[in-house]
Amino acid sequence: MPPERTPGGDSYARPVGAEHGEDMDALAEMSDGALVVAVGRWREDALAEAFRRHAGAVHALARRVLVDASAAEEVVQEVFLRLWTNPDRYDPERGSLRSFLLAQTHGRAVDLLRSDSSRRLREARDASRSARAGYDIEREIWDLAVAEHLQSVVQELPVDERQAIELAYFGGHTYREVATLLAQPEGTVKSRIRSGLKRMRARMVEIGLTPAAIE
Amino acid sequence: MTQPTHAEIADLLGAFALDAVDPDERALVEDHLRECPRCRDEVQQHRDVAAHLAFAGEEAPEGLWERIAADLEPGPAAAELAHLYPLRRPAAPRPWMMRSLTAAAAAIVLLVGALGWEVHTQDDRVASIRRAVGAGGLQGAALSALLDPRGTRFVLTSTTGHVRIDGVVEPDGNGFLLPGADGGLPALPTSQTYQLWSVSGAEQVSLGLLGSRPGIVPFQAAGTRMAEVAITVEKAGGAVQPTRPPVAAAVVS
Repeated sequence: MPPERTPGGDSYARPVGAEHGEDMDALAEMSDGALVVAVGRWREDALAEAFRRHAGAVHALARRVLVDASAAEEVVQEVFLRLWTNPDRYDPERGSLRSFLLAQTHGRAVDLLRSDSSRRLREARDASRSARAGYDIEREIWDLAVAEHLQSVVQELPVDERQAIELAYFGGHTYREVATLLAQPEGTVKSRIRSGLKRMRARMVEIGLTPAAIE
Repeated sequence: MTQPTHAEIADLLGAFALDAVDPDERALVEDHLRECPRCRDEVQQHRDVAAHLAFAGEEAPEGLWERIAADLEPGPAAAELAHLYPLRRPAAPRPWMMRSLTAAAAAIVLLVGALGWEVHTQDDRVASIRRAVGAGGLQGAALSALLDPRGTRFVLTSTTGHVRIDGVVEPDGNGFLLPGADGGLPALPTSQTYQLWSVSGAEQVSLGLLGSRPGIVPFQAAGTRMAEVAITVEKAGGAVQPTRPPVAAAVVS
């Protein structure tokens, strides 16, 4: 039997005809890191399990930033296809798989928003937002399993920090754009985003809601 | 243009983590992060917080997985592998390869000579490995392999001796590379990749591409006679045989 080798363009060694003997129960018990190793071995069922665990959150974020349903689904597709072709880009030492996938999702969604070709998408999104009353972070996290704790964390943020984070993260704006929107100095907004994130993290740790532990 | 100070870059980290910086600032921060583990940690912490905010506890739309599954690039076919491998080379090993491997062997002898220090740090390392095993995932699997007495361990050392990468191959051929405490190999431009080679006499066989910023990397070495291992820098996509001198190498006992 010939030795199994790594195909070109791939950072993981992926045996041909990898054994797919483990059943779905075994997959369901795998850690995220082990799942990604299995994805690296071309195991579609491992990618399906990663999708089952995280696609809801990935889709929710893409939908939240882009509003447009079909654009959001395209981003979800792209994020999971990227995990399939480049699983080595996930480093378990640098955080949870969910955090990694959401960072990828956010980056891609924001790229789409900022590209010229999606100007219409942005306009449609802003029009849709204008029609929604009471838009704020509390509403966005209303149905979280840990909503109670997270709400308290967000509510405790100074309003300036909260607005800056909200407009940057969910609105897809750069901090310079946020500064214009809020009529505040750019440097102030930049610092408020950072201090707000730090404040939330400290509070999460304080109440036992470890940020990296989200699954 | 003057280089920004650490404090100026640090002030951008929150906005950077939320993709809220301009492209030129993004490039500046990314350059800085390659050299600054403290700022890398901070960005990761910000992203973890953001992940909490993003979570909405809902399901993905019906039919989305089926569309993704239909677009998946299939795994490598046997014919593609036959085209890339085997990599037997009729010529004798290149002189640079032999020189580098000899240098690596010498470096290992020197390290063993520093036994007092080595034993102490090794004990610490094993203790920390034992604590980490059970955490699961790639890291857990790699550390378990390192602790497996049946595994063959080696340490890839850069020609300068500054970079050390632990390696282990289990009897079934499953292997792992783990960057040393110094963070391992420096990041490459995305147009390049590190590539791992097994060397035995005149035979040089690719054990896989490690990417431009390798962390813990699994590889498969079943069927290869692995007398030495070496890492070279190649163009992204890899090479069928080493095109440059190795940046790190080890003799596998």
